[in-house]
Amino acid sequence: MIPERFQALKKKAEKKRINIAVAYLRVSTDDQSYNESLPTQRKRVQEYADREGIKIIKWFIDGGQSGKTIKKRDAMQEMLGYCIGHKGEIGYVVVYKMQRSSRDLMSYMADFKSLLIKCDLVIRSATEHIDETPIGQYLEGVYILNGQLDNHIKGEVTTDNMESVAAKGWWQTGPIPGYDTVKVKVGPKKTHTILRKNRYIGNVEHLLRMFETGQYTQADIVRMAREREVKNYMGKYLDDNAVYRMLTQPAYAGFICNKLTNYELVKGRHEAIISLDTFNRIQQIIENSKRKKKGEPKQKNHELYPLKPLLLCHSCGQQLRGSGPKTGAGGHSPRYHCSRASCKGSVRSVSVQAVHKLFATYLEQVTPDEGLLRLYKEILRRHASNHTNNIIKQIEDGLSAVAKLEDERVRILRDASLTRNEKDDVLRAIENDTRRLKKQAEELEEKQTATQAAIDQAIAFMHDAQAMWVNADLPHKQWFQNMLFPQGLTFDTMQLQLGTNDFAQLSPLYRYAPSKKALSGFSKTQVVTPAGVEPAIFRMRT
Amino acid sequence: MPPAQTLLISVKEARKLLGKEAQPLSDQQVEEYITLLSAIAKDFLLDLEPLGGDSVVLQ
Repeated sequence: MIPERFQALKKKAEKKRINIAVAYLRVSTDDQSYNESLPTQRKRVQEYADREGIKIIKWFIDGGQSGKTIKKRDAMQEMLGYCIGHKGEIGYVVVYKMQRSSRDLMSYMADFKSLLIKCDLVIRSATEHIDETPIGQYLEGVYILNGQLDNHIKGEVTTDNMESVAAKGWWQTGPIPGYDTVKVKVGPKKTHTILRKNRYIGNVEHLLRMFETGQYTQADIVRMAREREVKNYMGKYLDDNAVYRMLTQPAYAGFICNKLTNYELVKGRHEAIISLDTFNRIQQIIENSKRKKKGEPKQKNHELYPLKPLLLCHSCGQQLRGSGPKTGAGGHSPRYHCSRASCKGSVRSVSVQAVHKLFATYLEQVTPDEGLLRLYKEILRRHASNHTNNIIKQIEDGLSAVAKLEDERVRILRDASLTRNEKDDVLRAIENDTRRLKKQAEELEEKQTATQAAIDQAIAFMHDAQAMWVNADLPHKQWFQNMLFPQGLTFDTMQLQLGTNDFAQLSPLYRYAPSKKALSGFSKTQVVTPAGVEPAIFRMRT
Repeated sequence: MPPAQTLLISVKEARKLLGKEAQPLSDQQVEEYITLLSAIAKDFLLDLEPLGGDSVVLQ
């Protein structure tokens, strides 16, 4: 006895495909001339259906549509939706020719065939032999590829023709501000397009000449274009992008430059409104005003943005950036910001002055740990010791020289060969040297005392983190910052708060301890932070 | 960080002076502290330079 599950499978295998179909017709303009019009297609499809005993329950027709992409055809999409909605109720999709369904193999497989398989549908061609046999499936692919090849060959011929037309200076794209496009008859059945000045041309020329002076920005030109009511062919005012395209359009200098000219300047057949020199000057101004291109190395350390390597964005945890956008008054406003895509809307830019003031206020409350001071004192002592040893050596050398001079003086006095005058001269010189050396020794001793004073001053200065940071030059500022916050310091640009989440970390060798002065304005219950400043979180990264 | 140079004090000695607070710091971090503190100390004592050379000259 055959088990039940095999019986079910056998039943399924023997199940005959339902003889209900939907039909798809498509016509492009070219097809009209090849006797493949819609009535012809419909007639042949209906004949095929009648012959095969298939009932067509719905017709889907795309008129004037390209065979390249399935997704852009409305009726095709409607048919696929219908097939999905009526899965199991339809057995076939019938087309006049395979090329009617698609002329691109990739698109056919990805956007059409895969859906038919999902809906348990098969395709049939009214004029070609397509079925589920190996040969039938092979032919299905061949017919589609034939269509694709035909398209590619046609495309190549068209591109060649267009390149030839472009090389002759004819315009082949849409109108541009200041020019309309008009057709020019060049043969009994042949026309080409040319640019012709329209009523905005005077204003467009004025805008180009204004920009050429270098005194106006692209934003100024956008504003001026609006004031002068310069519009594009759709009747819309020119926006930033349209003005950029206008300023970089060689057509105003009488040239054509596009893909068809291989991006080379080709003399156009239309009338120019500016010279090529003017056009080149405009391009130079645009080039000079450009921001740094993506990937170009940026200045890592800048005097204006000392906190750039330290501050971390409260939203994404990455380093803030620094830049100085132009202000309305024509100056620059240096700011810290995070311009990463993930932070848009949740992070705002803050002026560097405000951030530096906040950071300096924060540092007022930061004091070094005793251990750090011990280390610093020892380093100072060793530096000073080297220094003092030198001084002592110099003093000793000086004293030794004085002793030698004294011996010399005695020898001269005892020397009987010298006259009195000669002795007086030598003794005077020795006396001068001795006086000079003694004076130098005194100065060195003063220096030794000054060294001790400098050490005291250096230790006192170490206590004042704020003064250290404010007075340091850029490299020292950044070393000091790094020492205070080795893991960086989070800055909440929305709340203007430093160290508000886990990214921040004050070094364990420093303490956040509000001074009495800072606390004077707060009640004891509020003794935590000054306004806008929160203590960094002490947490080592593991 | 400051350019590499001979440390004025060893990391071991520095750890002793820093005390238990320095325990979580790596040797690299302690070295950085020594270098930076040395740079600061040097700056303070710079006013007293030059130290070397024979300033005592016999005529």
